[in-house]
Amino acid sequence: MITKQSLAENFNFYSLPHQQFKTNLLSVYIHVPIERETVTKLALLPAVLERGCEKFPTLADLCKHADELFGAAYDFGLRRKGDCAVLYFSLEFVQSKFAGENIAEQAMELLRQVIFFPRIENEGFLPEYVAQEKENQARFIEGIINDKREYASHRCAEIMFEGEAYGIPQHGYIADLSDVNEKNLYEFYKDIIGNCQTDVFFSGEFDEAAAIAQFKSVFAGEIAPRGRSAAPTAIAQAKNGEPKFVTEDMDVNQSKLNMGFTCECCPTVWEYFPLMMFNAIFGGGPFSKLFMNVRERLSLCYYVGSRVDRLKGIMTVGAGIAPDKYEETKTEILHWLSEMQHGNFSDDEINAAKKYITNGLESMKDSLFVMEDYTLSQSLINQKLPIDEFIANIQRVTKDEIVAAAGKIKLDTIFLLNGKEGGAE
Amino acid sequence: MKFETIENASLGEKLLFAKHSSGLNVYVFPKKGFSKYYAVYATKYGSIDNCFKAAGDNASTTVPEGIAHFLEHKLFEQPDGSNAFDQFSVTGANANAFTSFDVTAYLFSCTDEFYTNLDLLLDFVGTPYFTDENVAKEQGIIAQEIKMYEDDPHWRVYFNLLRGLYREFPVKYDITGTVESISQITPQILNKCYDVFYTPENMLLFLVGDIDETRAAELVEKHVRARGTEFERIFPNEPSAVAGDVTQKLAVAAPMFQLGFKDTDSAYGANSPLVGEKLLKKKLAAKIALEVFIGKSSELYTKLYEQGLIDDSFGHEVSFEPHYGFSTVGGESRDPKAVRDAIVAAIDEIKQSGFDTADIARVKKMFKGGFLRRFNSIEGIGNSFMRSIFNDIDAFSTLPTYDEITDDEINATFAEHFNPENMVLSVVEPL
Repeated sequence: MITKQSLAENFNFYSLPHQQFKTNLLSVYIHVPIERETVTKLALLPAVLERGCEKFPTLADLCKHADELFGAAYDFGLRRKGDCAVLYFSLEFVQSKFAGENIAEQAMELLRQVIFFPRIENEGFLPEYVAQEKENQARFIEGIINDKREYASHRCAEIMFEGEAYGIPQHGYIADLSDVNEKNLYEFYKDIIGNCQTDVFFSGEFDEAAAIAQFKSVFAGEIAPRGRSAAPTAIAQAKNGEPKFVTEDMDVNQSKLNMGFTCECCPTVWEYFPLMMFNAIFGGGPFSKLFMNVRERLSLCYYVGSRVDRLKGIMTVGAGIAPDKYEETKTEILHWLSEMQHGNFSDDEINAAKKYITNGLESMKDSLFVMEDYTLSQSLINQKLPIDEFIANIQRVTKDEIVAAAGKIKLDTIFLLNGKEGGAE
Repeated sequence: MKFETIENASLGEKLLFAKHSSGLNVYVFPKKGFSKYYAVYATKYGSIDNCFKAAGDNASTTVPEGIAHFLEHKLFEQPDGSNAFDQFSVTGANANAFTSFDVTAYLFSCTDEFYTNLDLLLDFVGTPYFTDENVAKEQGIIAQEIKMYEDDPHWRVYFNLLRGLYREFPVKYDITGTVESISQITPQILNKCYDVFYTPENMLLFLVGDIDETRAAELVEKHVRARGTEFERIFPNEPSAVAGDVTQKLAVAAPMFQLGFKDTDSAYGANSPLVGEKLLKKKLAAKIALEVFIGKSSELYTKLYEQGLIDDSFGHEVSFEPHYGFSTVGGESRDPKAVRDAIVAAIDEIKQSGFDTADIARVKKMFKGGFLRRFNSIEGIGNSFMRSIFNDIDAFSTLPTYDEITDDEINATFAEHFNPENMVLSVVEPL
């Protein structure tokens, strides 16, 4: 049973008991908005914090300490959740019965040090750490282009949600880096850790009461009310008129076609379950309409698939295609959407989709990380739907409901990363 | 089929094993408390197996590069025109397959109807169906896949490195082959490769989850028949000398590099395979040495990072298999040659001083934690045991082996393997 305990206002402790793993997972999530003015600073924070804190002043010191904790694996980063993000600090460590020593308390202390006691000099982060991580961040942003599939998908979101939080890339902007310095970055960070909603997740096999007591004792100085609770995500609205179309040329063999659709579906309503079913039949599963037709039957592409962002109420389709196959592929994708809007899919496809989704949901139980993320996402929409009830809902979805969900789907944006002519046949 | 049980008390795990009358080795790794089941049905046949001599043949057969991967794609196609993927979709299972240098594996994970899925897996892998028409269609699909890899700088920098490290040994070829090489593939060649390599003796079945081994055994009995005969793998002799550095220009933002070291141990190589405990020890010693040398906690990593020569894309790995061994370090860098030069200088220093005992102990502790973590994932268990078994390695012995390896062995492995003469730098530069 997942339990949530409020340690202070907007400061919660979630216990996720699981018996089957050899490790425990401890994570601290700080909920932050994604805003044009601050996103670049936000994106810089995890790397700067990893570089050093008072107790582990260099990266090597931190790594060595984690090694000594039986190879505890830490991960600090920024994870997008709809219009917002979480700044996360996770540590996975071997359970005491296998390690031969109790690591939990040291794990809590490690995270506390990294989050709350960064290395500070003259009211700012260490200047050389910030300067270097700015360079790394600039290179990282430039490097996104190396993964063309990822790049095309980013660009599609950017174009579809121009001027909105969802269109802001979570890695920030190179142009903004020059205004970031050790002092204003630290000011920004202090504001976040002092005021933004903070959720702690502890997963695995442990004694709940003892773990909470231990956490309260280790974080005694940090547990205090936070003024800003996690903000909700605005559902994408369907627009009138023609879809946006943007194309970019690049010297690559394979073109990437990305399409963004609005679904007009809130994450908390029943219609979400039919939408999820629609997506599985249309392009989400390995047996989907798009895969079986556009890839397998017509050999138009190497990959094609669709996914739904529940929080935002959108669907995106991505395909890797030969440069001369753009029109044909786009027409086929829209054709299969139209087919589904007209109810042209079979009971077999519905049953296969139900099984596919059920399998996916059941599988989530086998990962500490996935269950933690599921619980976090649930908390963002104020839902406490156990996986088994989620599965029961999927099982109850009817064909008419799927057709209704399909009927609300509307093409909004097309982005084409255009490969060189004659590059592939 | 009678299963024997291999217990491992310190991990709290056990493994069941039985040899089927066909020669197929069947393993069941019981995992209670997990929702998923995992099955992997694999053949010891990968992209390096381009030349072989089947029993009864007068001459050896050389086949086009990329054929193992091609065969993997094609095996999903069934005689009735259906695709095995569709059949798995009926039960909601996730089916997949992969081809590596040494192994082709067919696998699925599911949360329901495990035995139905296992039935399907054993059936489709046992039913090759190659026609001129379906081979031609696959050539189109794989050509697209190859084009995609041609655009992928991570893939290119890695395979360019292998081409620089190896002059003869077929690990230098892209696993997918080339558009040209796969165009030579015919149903006849596919059938030949299938007959030679997809025999029960050359395959294994590894199952993970809350599984009834008796029911699994019944399905093996239903589908698997003794078949095929002996064959010989033929590998070219690989000279010690490397082919040389490789540079390619691609649409990337910053240079990307891989620096590789070819193992030239004279007791080990193309025609004197290393397996079992010896291979495990060699691999773990190299892995520890590389981590102490250039892992995130090392002085060298810190120095390179602080100089801005590497960033957190930097990584390293060792690949030691029976017929070849190499290690790689790489990532993005504004100056790959400076990284290489710093590494070469540091190698010299370590060869003089040896590694610090405390560093070795710490790194061993880290790897042991990582090994334990693998048992959190049923796929992780299946894949790592499958690979170990093909190389005659007892995967359970990994933990005690970490303890057994001495500092001297690690220092000696480092001095032997990380030899700048066997080193190649592969770089992908911006256009």
